[in-house]
Amino acid sequence: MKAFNFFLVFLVLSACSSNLDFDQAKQLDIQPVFEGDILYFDLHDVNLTDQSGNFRNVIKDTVDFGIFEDGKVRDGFVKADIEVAYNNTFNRHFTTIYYFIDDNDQPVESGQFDIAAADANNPEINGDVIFRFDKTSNPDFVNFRKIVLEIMISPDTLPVENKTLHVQTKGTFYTNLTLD
Amino acid sequence: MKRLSFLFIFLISLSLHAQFDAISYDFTPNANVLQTNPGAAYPYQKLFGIPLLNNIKLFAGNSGFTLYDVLAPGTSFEQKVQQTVSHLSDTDFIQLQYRQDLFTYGWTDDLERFKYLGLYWEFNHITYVPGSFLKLGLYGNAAYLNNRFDLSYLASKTEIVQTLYYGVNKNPNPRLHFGYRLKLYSGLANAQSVGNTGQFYTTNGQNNFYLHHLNNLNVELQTSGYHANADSNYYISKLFFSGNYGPGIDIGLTYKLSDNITWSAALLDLGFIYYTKDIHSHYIKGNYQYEGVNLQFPEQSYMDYWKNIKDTFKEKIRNKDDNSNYISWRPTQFYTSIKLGLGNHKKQTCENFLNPITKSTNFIGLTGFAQKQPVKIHFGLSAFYAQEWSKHLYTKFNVTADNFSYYALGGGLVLNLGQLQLSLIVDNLLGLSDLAKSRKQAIQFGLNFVK
Repeated sequence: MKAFNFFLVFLVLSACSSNLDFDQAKQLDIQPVFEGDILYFDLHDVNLTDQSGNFRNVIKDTVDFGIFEDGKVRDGFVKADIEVAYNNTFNRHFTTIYYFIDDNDQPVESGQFDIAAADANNPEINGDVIFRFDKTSNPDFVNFRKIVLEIMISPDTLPVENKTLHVQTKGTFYTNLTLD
Repeated sequence: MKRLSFLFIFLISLSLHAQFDAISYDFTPNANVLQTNPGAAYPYQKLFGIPLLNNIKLFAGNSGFTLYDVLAPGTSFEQKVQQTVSHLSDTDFIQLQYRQDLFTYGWTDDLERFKYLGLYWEFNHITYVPGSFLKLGLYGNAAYLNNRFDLSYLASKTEIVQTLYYGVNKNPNPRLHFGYRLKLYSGLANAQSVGNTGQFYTTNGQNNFYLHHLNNLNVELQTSGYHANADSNYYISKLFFSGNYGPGIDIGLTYKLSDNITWSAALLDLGFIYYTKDIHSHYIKGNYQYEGVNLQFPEQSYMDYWKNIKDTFKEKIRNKDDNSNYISWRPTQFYTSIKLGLGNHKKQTCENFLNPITKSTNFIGLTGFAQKQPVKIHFGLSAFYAQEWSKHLYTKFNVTADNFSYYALGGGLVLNLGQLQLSLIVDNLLGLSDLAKSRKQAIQFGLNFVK
């Protein structure tokens, strides 16, 4: 009986703990990678001509991109892979340029690629392009706030057929974040 | 190794809900046994709990990891966090409880029924720490594009509740004890996010690489008890008249299957609190899909794609304050136990000197437990050995398997010093040897006058 009492009292009073280092928990460095869709489009024959029916050599569009407005995101950004996939059935060659522009409408980065024209032997042209942007090599990349997409259409005497150019774009963003 | 009264630090360092009281359940020499089974074979005629010093219970548990897992000195903190998170399931949780009797008084009426009433308050907290969401935060979504993140695992509940009760314990026939306890809950404070639904996930897209889904989203945070402009007097007045009330009941029974075998069961905290005061709640509901910006190449005008996306998102996903009254269900618990008496001894007293009764002094048995919690029902199973050393000293040892451990050793002691009874229950005795590596610790202290 006495032994039992002693045992219990001993156990409770002798509670011990391994050393713990609470200071290390003040900061946590993590490297999450985020991946998601950015934009896509389908060009049809009507997009290649203006309202008057004149052929458009260049078509353009702009989309805001506000992720880097947050200072913590800018600080934590490491690099990005922008992946573009396309499918062209037009008998036209396209030169596509992605401009990453800042608030002053100045490009901080760009990426260009060509899309070959389809023909009877290759009625469908598929391709995939990846642009890699690294903050180390271009610290200004995080200043981009808009993406301007410019598509130059090669002049040709061939009639514009009822075909499509489909382009899709996703981004993979590598980060290094410090949580306080 | 540091020797310190680390228990307190350990308990408060984790963020407290009724947990498996395997040791106190059906530990009949303990004057507080009716708290876990109102139908226990209660051996006392009168009870007076020392106000504020009786039935004090402190519990902390973490089903997924220990403090040592993440705070051990040496290897990098990031590595330890990653390793810990890699082992977490979506139903792991942190649980804390503090409970204290304000007063307890019991007496036996003319019909030999034991009646008792009392008041206690408790602080309960449970938070689920779903591993899949923590991995998403640590590593981003790129590696988990095919995973479905189920928002029902995002659940948390914190409450401070005061409970006024009145109970009756009867012995209608020699084999049966039956009891009930009526409760009036008073919710002093509550913050809960329970019963959430919805998923977010990514599938292969038609128009773009992916299609990101927010499906059947219904997430709500409900709070009561916080008043922005209140002073301390306001909260003190709330201690007695919170304005948030609800009924509850505990029922239990003990049945002697044979001279040596006893079965018991109890259902506790079957009730709810209806919160009506100082309510601040917020909900997010809806469905949404995103596949990127669809460029239109307008000839002249500029299209504000993101404004359209934001407007559509706001339209599809409603994000609103909701200050209507709400119900918070109590964490109902179910206990059952089978007990086998060993070592029968003739108990001879002046009253039965010629015909002594046979009584076991050693017992072995099994206790089962189930409790409804926000995400799932928690189960536990415990094997025990109890011994009556004399009419002054009783002990009980349990080995318990539950969400925290498969083999936690716990011990209970009841010491009767005249009419003063002292009880001490400690769960996870082995955990005391290194609290930093323990997944649960519980300590319970009782101080009563009994007759």
